[in-house]
Amino acid sequence: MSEVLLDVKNLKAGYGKNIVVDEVSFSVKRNEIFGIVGESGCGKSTLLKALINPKEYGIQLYGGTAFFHDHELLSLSLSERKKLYGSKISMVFQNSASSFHPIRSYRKQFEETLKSHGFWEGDASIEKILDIFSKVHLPEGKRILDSCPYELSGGMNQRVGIAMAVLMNPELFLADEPTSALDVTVQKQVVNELMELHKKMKNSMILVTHNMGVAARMCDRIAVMFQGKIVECKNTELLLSSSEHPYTQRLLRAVPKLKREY
Amino acid sequence: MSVLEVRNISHTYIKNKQQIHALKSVSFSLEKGEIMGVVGESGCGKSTLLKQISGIETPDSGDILIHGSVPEGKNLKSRRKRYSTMQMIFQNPLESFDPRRKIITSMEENLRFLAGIISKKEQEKIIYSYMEKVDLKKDLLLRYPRELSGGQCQRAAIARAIMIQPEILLCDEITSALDVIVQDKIIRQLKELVRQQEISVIFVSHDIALVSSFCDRIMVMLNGECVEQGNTKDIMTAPQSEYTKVLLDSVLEL
Ligand SMILES: Nc1ncnc2c1ncn2[C@@H]1O[C@H](COP(=O)(O)OP(=O)(O)OP(=O)(O)O)[C@@H](O)[C@H]1O
Ligand SMILES: Nc1ncnc2c1ncn2[C@@H]1O[C@H](COP(=O)(O)OP(=O)(O)OP(=O)(O)O)[C@@H](O)[C@H]1O
Ligand SMILES: [Mg+2]
Ligand SMILES: [Mg+2]
Repeated sequence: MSEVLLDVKNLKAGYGKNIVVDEVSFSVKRNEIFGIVGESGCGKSTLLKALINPKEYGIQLYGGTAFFHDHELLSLSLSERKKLYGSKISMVFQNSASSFHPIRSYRKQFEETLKSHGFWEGDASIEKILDIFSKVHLPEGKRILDSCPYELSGGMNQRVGIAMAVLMNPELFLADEPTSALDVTVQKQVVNELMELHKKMKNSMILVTHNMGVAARMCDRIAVMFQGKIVECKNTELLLSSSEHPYTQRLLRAVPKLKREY
Repeated sequence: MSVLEVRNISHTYIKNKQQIHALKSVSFSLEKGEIMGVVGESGCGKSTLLKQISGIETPDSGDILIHGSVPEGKNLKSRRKRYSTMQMIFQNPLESFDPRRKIITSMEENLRFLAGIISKKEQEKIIYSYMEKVDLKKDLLLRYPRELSGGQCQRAAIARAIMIQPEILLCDEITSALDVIVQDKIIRQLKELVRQQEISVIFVSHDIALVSSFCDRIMVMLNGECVEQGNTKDIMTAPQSEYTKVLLDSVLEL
């Protein structure tokens, strides 16, 4: 049996008195891609943010544990958190552009982040960033580095977010809708690149997405969330072929089909 | 006469003395009640195109005609007139709202300034009915934009734009944060709106399956240019450009 990297038990979290993540339990194994799909507003982003830094996002915790190795993520001290995040665990946010400083160049933002983790190596770091950029189909790397978020397109900012998150080879990569702003050709390339990286680094990933095609292609297992709870969790093939929960079935039926014959 | 006519618009951004040709002589026209899809590579100029049409940015060259004439003036009054005819829903849903204002305040202002609806009671009635159309609970109205989920904010932005009943709706990736069930509901609402009020829609989206079922016509863009446009059926069954073929073949299906 393979080793469990992240073990979440009975996580209950919300905002004020509203509970939006309700007794959620799941575990992610080393080298596994774990997908979460579900209704808009059901608590997916909240779940990921609670694992990263509940306080910063105004999330209240009502119970549960989340073990990453022997660190309990929900009760980390500030200094422990700083050590883990960025290098061991990283996240790409749903609204990638808004998670960066709006009017500071990406070059400065990359430099600051790498420095704060002691990973900054000057030109060598820049080379590494440009290399990742080219892998996610951002060939004009120099221009991208000199730009601020508002000077790039939605999908370009999203890929910069991915580059930032994988730069330090995290063991656990949390990705909230990482390809929602990409056209299908670039999406295919980014998905392949992430899979490639994943194979090479043997890292684990939680992928939140509304795109069932992407989830089917990438994930080993998929959890379906509905109104704050995980209602079904299965191996990808099994989920697609024999889902049991009515919500999952409705979700799969609603996926639009490409109509190429009339 | 076309509701909207775009004639040879070009736009170049300059960054570090480098020119970025975001739009290169793009032309098309949009009829009353027509839905035109725009697809293309990330970074090919789709959002730029919509920003120019809506008047947020001005093209370097070319003309944009609404009901056959160039919208005049840049002052507040003429801008409001333009926005009441034409609403844009932004790719980043947070951009549709002022971060310091509650959702309801942004909606009330739109109704007051763009639709001339002053009575609070009437505003409230309209806002509630549109929240229902986009499948959102009323209590979300009292929140700030950042306190909504990605898809909730996107739906609030859609409601805000359509409640003033514009003639032209510019949609920039408006379903990218929605699950497919909610997406289906929203698309039905938009279809209903197009049928009842004959509004015209430009629908930018990376979801080609969705575009193929929702739009009458499709324009395919690559590197700032329109490489192909035509009826949905023609583009889907007999794409002419190499890029369109690659695009159709890249869709990840279940
Ligand atoms: N800062 C906040 N304050 C109060 N409520 C919030 C806040 N952020 C999110 N919520 C609420 O918590 C619930 C879950 O939101 P969350 O962002 O986790 O959903 P999600 O599953 O990621 O949805 P989507 O697919 O639309 O992004 C929603 O009802 C939302 O309105
Ligand atoms: N304010 C700006 N300053 C400089 N360059 C810009 C600016 N806005 C856009 N660009 C550039 O113009 C090009 C087109 O961007 P645009 O946002 O229109 O693309 P898009 O087709 O909407 O892409 P996506 O599908 O990723 O959203 C990109 O190369 C982008 O970097
Ligand atoms: Mg979310
Ligand atoms: Mg765009």
